[in-house]
Amino acid sequence: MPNNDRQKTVQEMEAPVVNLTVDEKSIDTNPKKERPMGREYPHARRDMPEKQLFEFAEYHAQDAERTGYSNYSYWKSVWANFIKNKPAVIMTIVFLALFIFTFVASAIGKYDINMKPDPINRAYLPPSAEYWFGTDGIGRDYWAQVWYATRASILLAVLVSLGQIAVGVVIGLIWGYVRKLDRFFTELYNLIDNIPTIIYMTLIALMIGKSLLTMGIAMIAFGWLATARNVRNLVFMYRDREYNLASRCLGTKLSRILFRNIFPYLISVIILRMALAIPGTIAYETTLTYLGLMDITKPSLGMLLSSARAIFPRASYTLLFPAIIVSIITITFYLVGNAFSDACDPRNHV
Amino acid sequence: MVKYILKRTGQSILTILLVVSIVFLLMRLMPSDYFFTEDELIKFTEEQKEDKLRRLGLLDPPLVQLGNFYMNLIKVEQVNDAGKVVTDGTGHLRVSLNLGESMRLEKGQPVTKVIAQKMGISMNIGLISLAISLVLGVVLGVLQANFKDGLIDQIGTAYTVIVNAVPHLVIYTVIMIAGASWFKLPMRYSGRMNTELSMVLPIICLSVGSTAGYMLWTRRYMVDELNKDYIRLAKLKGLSNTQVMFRHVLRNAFVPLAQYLPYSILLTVGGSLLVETFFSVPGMGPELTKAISRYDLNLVQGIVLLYATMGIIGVFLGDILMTLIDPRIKLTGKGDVR
Amino acid sequence: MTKGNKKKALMLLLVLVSVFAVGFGGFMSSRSALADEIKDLQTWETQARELETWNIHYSQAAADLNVLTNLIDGLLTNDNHGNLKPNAAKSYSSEDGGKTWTFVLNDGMTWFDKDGNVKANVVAQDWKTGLEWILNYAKNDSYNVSMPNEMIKGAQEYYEYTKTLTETEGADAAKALTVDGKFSELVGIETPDDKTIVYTLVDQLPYFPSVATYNCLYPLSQAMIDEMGVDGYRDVTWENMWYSGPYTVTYFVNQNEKVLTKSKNYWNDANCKRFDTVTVKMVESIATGYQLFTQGELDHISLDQATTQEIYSDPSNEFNPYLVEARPTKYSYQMHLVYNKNKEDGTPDVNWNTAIANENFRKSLYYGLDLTAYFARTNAINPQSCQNYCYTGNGVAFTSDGKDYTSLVLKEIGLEYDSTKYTRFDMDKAQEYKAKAMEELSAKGVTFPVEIDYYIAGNSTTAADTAKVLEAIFDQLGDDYVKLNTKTYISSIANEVRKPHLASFFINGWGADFADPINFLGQETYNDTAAFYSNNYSYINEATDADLIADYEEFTKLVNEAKAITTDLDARYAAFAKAEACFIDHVLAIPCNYEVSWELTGINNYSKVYSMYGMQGYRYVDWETDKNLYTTDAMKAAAEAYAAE
Repeated sequence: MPNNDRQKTVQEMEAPVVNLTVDEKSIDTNPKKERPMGREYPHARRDMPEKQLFEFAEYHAQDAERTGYSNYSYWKSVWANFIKNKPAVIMTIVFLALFIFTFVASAIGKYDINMKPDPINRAYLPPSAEYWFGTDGIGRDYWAQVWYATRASILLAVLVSLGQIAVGVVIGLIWGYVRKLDRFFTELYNLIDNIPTIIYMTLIALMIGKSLLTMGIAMIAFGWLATARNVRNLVFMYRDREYNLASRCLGTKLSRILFRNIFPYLISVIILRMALAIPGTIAYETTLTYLGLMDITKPSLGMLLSSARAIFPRASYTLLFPAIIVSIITITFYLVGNAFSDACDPRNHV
Repeated sequence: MVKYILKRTGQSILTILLVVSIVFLLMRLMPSDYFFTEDELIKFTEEQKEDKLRRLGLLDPPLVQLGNFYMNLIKVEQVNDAGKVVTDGTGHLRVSLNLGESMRLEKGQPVTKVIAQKMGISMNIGLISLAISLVLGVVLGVLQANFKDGLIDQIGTAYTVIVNAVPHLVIYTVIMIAGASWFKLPMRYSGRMNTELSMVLPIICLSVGSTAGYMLWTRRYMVDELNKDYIRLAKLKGLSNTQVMFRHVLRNAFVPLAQYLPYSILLTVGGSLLVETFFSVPGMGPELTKAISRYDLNLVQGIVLLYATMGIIGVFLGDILMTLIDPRIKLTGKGDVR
Repeated sequence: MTKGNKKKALMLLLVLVSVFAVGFGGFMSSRSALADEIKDLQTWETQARELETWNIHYSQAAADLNVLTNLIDGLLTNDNHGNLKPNAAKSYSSEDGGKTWTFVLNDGMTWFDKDGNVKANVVAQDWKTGLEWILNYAKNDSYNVSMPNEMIKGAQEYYEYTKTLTETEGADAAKALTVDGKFSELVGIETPDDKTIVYTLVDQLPYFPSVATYNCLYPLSQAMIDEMGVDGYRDVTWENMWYSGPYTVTYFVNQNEKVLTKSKNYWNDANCKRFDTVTVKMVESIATGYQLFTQGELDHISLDQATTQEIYSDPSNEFNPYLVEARPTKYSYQMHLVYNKNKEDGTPDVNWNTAIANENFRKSLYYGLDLTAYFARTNAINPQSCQNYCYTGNGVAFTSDGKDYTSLVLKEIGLEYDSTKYTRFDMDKAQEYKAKAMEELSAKGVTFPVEIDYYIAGNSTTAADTAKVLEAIFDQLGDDYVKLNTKTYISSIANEVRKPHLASFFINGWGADFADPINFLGQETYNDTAAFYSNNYSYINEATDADLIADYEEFTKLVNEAKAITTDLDARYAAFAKAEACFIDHVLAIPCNYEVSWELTGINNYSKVYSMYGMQGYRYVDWETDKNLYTTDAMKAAAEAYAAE
């Protein structure tokens, strides 16, 4: 499948490489020094002597805010933009309801997850008033199984994707910003990316174990690549934009450039990544279950899917219920991710 | 350009060697009992097991094994016209890649031969499916972009979302059962009878997902492009919609797709784990997992070498292809990250 | 995102649901009624069981031998009752009570290539060449040496000789060896003429002829080795191998399909019934296999639990009248208890080790586990068909009046098979033993509930479900007493579980290699390096409890006494039955089950080679078939006719 990241690479190739040398001495390193309030001197620049106009300005924290001031709030705009997108809002509510329901469901179900099996009398009973989702092959209530699995899978997926994004963003920022490390990270990336993940996963499962925690960490350890690459490419694009050059000329600090100037552009991508990572993790969990690398003594959506598949088309409800839930989760995150990432893009804030 | 290609080739070879070496050493971390079947574990004594492993060189220190692997990688031998190896100096030289012999899955067969056979079948199915999904995906994507927010666009979006939402495991199962019971299509690949017919279902399975992918990205790139100023200018100038769409929009939108194309083509050698397992296609898809779990280290080595090479060459070719179709792009050696 | 989205979202769900509607649709069958006998058999195998080598001497895996047994004829084979039957050898005899055995070959046997071109005659010397290959360390990597080494005179010496030679002078020196020279000097195999083979054994071994069905005594033509070289034969393929059996391979694609075609020049054509072709199709799972079956692409299929129950519970199902119960597989399953278990951190699990060494504790498990629900996982319709109360498998050995050896054991331990109930289960007795065990063990500092670790394959959700059933079965003994914990391994139980001693017990099946109880009981003896289960599963040799060791020593003594009786087979079996009863009475392992599943088949199961040992079970020879499938009644009739034979 084609990947939009490639486009970023294209753009980035066109981006001019500008080397900037800043006269360190000209930057005032003590921002706390008493300054006249910018707003009190609205015509300060007009009154400057001509010579001063062509020299580096001293850094004044309040002056720096001056032109940026409006009653604009980033997150308020994000929110305003987001709730305009009705389907996304609805799906978010559906998803939250689904997630909360996973806790409620086990309480209102007639049987709990530790129900005693009875493969002789109760195996594969179709859905009924007694067993709302039918029973599985050993006669346990499938309702309890499905909701337990949903909760476990969502939790794992959310934690893993958060981890992947966090690691990916940090590495991506360093990779993109520190030129000297570019070669190193590029090689590291190529290396990890070209070794099939199943080799790592098998070895980790074999040598450390395959508890949920281990496998979760392993998924994070090899899942940050895409995000990091994406972030790195974006940092590349924006770091040398004119407004950043200007900002740097004005002596703005690095952290401030990264977090106030560049980060807002990243948020939309990060949200989109996150939205794709959650269903991705659930799909990956299914594959890992198929390969025997997940703990199958407790139900998860991946496990239910692969065991139901083996008996399909008999007892087709055993495949249907978990598949519908996975589909809802994926569609939600697809819609919500798109909507939220649009809302997060400052270019859409007017 | 030439300098760039040379430099990039050098880097690629280095990366491939590094990948292969790391996998080689990683695989040596696995316990060697995986080499034996449960049948054999029951019947073999410890001593017999050790003999067997020693004979295959698996008990040497990993670095020695790695050295041996590289020492024997290129095999130069003299062969006569009939292809038989001779030692009396009458034949001509033949240079071949020697990845050793499969230790388990096809005991004693050269890894290159095993991979070549499986690769052919996977590529056959993969390329047909790639062609289908590329054509279908791009055409539908163009239609979607052209009638943005119309019925076609909505159906198309629904399709892409569903395909991405429903787990592939489930989609494949449904296609398999439906195809077999309603259309009476063979649900097992056969190289012997009705080969073409038996490839239909695996190809459909493979195409379902990638068509959705091409649709999604074609539409997205086209829409992005449509919003650009030069398109408005072109329309104002009075160019017909078709001309604008195909001469300008599609051409520009196709660049990022094209960059990915060589990679996709080359990676069809890898096959698909799920599809090939489900339809008993004797291809590359399940081979890596099987080779790992059966400790067939030579085969793992060969497969990883193949994947890494194809992946790296694919990206390389993609970048070059892109400069060819879009003269604005220059390769600088920077940012050659996939 | 625009206003069309609400519609879109709805539409998505609709399409989604319709995608699944496919799953609900009925699945029509295309099986049609045609002529009676099957001429071209279409059979199956799951993908994990693909053949790995075409070299019959070089294989110890059932997946290989199930194919290869059709391609080359051994000295003897089995009939549908499991009796020995002449094959390449028309007769065999021993003059001295089983120390030397003489086999006389049939006339007209030839070696041929896959196209049927005759390459050479099959002669007695081929068995010599075959045995030399097996015993030669450099040629066969020690595959299949254990049985010849234990039984044939001089085999062990020759094996050691080739091993030393390989180590001192290199593999080429050992590979250059032939039957002339050292081999003839040392090994007890003679060929007085082209048709006669005489084996000299280390001892009187009455069961030796059954070993002649096994691949360690298969022939090999020196002419073929001359043609392709030693390394060439080691890596032989179906395309260049020499055949002598009822079928030749005409098509093979790894992981996909193999076609066995009736051999053109088969010496025994007049006396055996063969299929024109046998196509073995590799399927992903038996669920996929069932789909193929409904398409008419297979002639028989085993059924999984879901399918069995669906067909059984629905009288209108087209396959309902055709459900037949398969014959048991050749494996006798036991719960092998582990006497030296470690915890996951590598320290000894003292709690378990102390508990399991207590006989009352073991007896409470023996009587208190009602395995019916466990059996239902393999056989949902008649779970009790799976019951197993003995250690040795059914059909391995028979007394002179035709009774199965295991009936002697059953008499000794006082149990009987009953198709309606699990007769061993007795909760009252179990509770008595439980009370005693808790008292004795508490005194020794054992904490209750005793944690029991059971390991299953990590990719098998079926096994995970079965384990849940087992957990419930153990729970019946009281949660104050035992607690079963299910744990998983990734791909090798030997490596991940057995070696680090992590499991409390294993459920494992043993299939015999030859027709004698020693092949079963000999795996459990105390302080015996050849005893497989003692050394690799129960780790009894590392146990310290005096009572437990005394029980094991008593059992070992009885086995050795029985083993020494070589002339009077009835007396030998009676003695083995005593030893086995001692083993079961002390509950040193818990007999568990047989695998008896359900199937739909066009093959009369009772006409197939039925052998509880060795590798002849998959020979596609003399099978009775019916293209229209056997009905439940027809198969019952066949079973009755078979019992009456």
